[in-house]
Amino acid sequence: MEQKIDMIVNRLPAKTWNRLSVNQAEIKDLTADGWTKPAVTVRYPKAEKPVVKELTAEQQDSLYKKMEEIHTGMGAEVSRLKPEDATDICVETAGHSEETVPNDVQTVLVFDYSSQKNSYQDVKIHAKAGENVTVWTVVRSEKDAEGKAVLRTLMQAEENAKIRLVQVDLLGNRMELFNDIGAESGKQAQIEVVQLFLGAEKIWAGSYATLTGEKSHLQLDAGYYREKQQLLDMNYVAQHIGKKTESGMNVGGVLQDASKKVFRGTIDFPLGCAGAKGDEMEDVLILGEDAINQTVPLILCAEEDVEGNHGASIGRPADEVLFYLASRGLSEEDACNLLARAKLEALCNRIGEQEIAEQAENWLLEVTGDEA
Amino acid sequence: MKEKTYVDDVDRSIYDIRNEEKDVYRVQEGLDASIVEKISKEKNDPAWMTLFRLQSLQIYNELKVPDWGPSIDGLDMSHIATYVRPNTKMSAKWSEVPEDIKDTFEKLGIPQAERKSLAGVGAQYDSELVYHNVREEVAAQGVVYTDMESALKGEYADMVRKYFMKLVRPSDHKFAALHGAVWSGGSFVYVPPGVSVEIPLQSYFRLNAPGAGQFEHTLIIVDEGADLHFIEGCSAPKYNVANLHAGCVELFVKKNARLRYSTIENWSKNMYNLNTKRAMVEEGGVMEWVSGSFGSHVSYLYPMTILKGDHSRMEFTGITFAGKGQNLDTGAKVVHIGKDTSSFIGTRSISKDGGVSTFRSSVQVEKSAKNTKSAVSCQSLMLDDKSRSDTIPAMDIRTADADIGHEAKIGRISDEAVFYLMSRGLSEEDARAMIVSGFADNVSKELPLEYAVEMNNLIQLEMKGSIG
Repeated sequence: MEQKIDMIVNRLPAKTWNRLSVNQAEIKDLTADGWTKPAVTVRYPKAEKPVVKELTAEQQDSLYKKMEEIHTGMGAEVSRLKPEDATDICVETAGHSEETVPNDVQTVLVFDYSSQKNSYQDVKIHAKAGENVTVWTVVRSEKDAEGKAVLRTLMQAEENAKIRLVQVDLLGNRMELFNDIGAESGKQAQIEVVQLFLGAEKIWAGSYATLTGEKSHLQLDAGYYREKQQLLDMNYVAQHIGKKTESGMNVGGVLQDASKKVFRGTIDFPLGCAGAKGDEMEDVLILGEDAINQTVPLILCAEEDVEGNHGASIGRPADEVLFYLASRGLSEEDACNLLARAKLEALCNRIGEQEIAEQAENWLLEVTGDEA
Repeated sequence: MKEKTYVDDVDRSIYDIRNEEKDVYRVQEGLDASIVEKISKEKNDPAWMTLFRLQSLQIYNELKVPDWGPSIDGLDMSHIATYVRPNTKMSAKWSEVPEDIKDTFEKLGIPQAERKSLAGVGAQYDSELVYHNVREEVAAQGVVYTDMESALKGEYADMVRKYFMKLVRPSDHKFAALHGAVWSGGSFVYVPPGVSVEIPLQSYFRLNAPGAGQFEHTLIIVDEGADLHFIEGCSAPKYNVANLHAGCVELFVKKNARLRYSTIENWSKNMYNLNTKRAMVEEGGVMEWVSGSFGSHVSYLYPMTILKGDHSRMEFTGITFAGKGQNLDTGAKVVHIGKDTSSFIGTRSISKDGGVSTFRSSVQVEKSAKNTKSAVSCQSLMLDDKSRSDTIPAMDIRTADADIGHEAKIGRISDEAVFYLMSRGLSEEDARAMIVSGFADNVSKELPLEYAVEMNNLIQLEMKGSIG
């Protein structure tokens, strides 16, 4: 008999009223067995390449093994789905000496979840001191593919290193995506995350950045387009451990029809992170009559010398904007579609890889219509 | 290295007056059906109320303690006396109130305030009211201001039965159920249609008995087009055993009526303040909350407003000051149901000397609430690195036709602001004191002058130290 498991993910770092149903997300009746891995294609947009290896747990060195301890936004439960014989894709900068130039490398990882019901993949990214790595991860499937797709990304940026992670979701509308991120930064390291959630019927997404090193920095920008009955459930945390660390989280998107989005965003200032700054902003355009938006933006503070700000703007387009667009000949529907597309195209422009950016823009055109 | 600014604790000497218990009636500690029945019998409840209390007790026993707020592990209901009656009857004359009790209220400034600036006063001591009076001219307008027990049995019995714990149901949470089981005291106010009460009414709740609970019930109905400002004050002396306050406030704001409900809460630091306040606002009605939370060991306090009627609106202005040994979890909740409704929640919180302050809010906009506007603004000030300040807001929006804004800031006193004030001739200590006082201005400017002065006295902050 098929074994089923329930999972609790995206736990809010500080609970609030249970009646609001935002303290956590429960995923019930998950098939426990038979998970496999997606098909992966690796390409390199430029000549300078990182070291990319597919390694089993036994083949990984102590650094990669230690990366398993990094907190992730969805939580440790996600790894319960990992098949025993799984291989992780490990991306690493090669390192440099005093005589050589630091590496600045890029890779694209395309995961195709079409062929299997449920697939799981871990990606580990390690930027050595002073080096830069950009990784694009694209999750895709055939439009009518069904199943669950897990992508868990763990990142370690050493001193003065920079990791740029760009994630684009182009899954078919019958897929469910679990997209989890954990990151840890060394002194003056930078982590940049750009995410675009366009496909999949249901998405659970998490990100947890532990800013350990002094003056390390996180910038996370996420956008989404949800329609019909689609769901997006997010839990994003920036934890400031090191002094003078900085974080910025901007999340925005569009809710059409009867779609639902939950955003939990936390800036955590534990004692000792003097001089830290955290900013969080959410901008939600609600266009669907039956859409549901839940937003829980937390600031947890045990340190005096910090600055934390969060803001949220939720609702329909301003009347003045619609009036202006109407004066330019656009119907309200076309105007709303234009605004929805404009909101996400700004993120498409930040993808920074032509082929992926085109795929994302084409997807957007398809869902928002191109009449406007 | 910067020297930390030191902010003194609130001077509590006035509030710490303790009177010896003399000839009081006190039920045994703990909570079971026999105690609830005893309270009901003592109070000569009508039969429906006895049944209501027992049903509430059953709900209390079934519900769990909240798993999301500050710890209340130190509260042991088996050591709380839920009913303590002073050896006096309620009077409309201060001269008939026993000397020690009267002295306490004198020191708290209640009779003086009544003479100067109030339309009526209710003074509760432990579980019962000892004084209740309303000005003749206000009574002549048809305004009813009486204690809950009288209302329950007298002319307004049907009205009380119609509204009592209909807005805050015992099943809402464990301490609402506890309140339903053992409530005692509190005030009933009815303002007839079109009547505007020009000066405020006030109820003051004083808990003197150690190891006791206070469970007063306030029920206010402001009828169509009427207007009222109601002030609630509360305090207790400090003991080294836990005290409990689980009051309940139910406010009904009818069509085009307006109610302002102001609270200066200054419970002692052994108090668990698990209070529930809720307002239902009909079409065109206005609900205004002004709330200052300074006392108690642990507080759970989030006044809730249900904007049921079209064009209704609410405003919540609050300040919380958490010092040593305090964990104050405060905020507000609003539910938008009617069309064209609007809400604004503006709060400030200050944490010092190891105090924990949490701002918690929820804004719910139902599908029916077209053209809703809501804004939440919370600012937190950390005065040292021993303290903690958390912000936990939530928004649940279920209509496309809404305009929802939220902003929160947390930080310390800005060096630039101090520098600017010093460039205008202030010492650093004075500059910091001025900034902290200014931070609390949102509440003090909303209070009547006398109460603003009381609040400023309450946060009489002595700033020392500094050169950075």
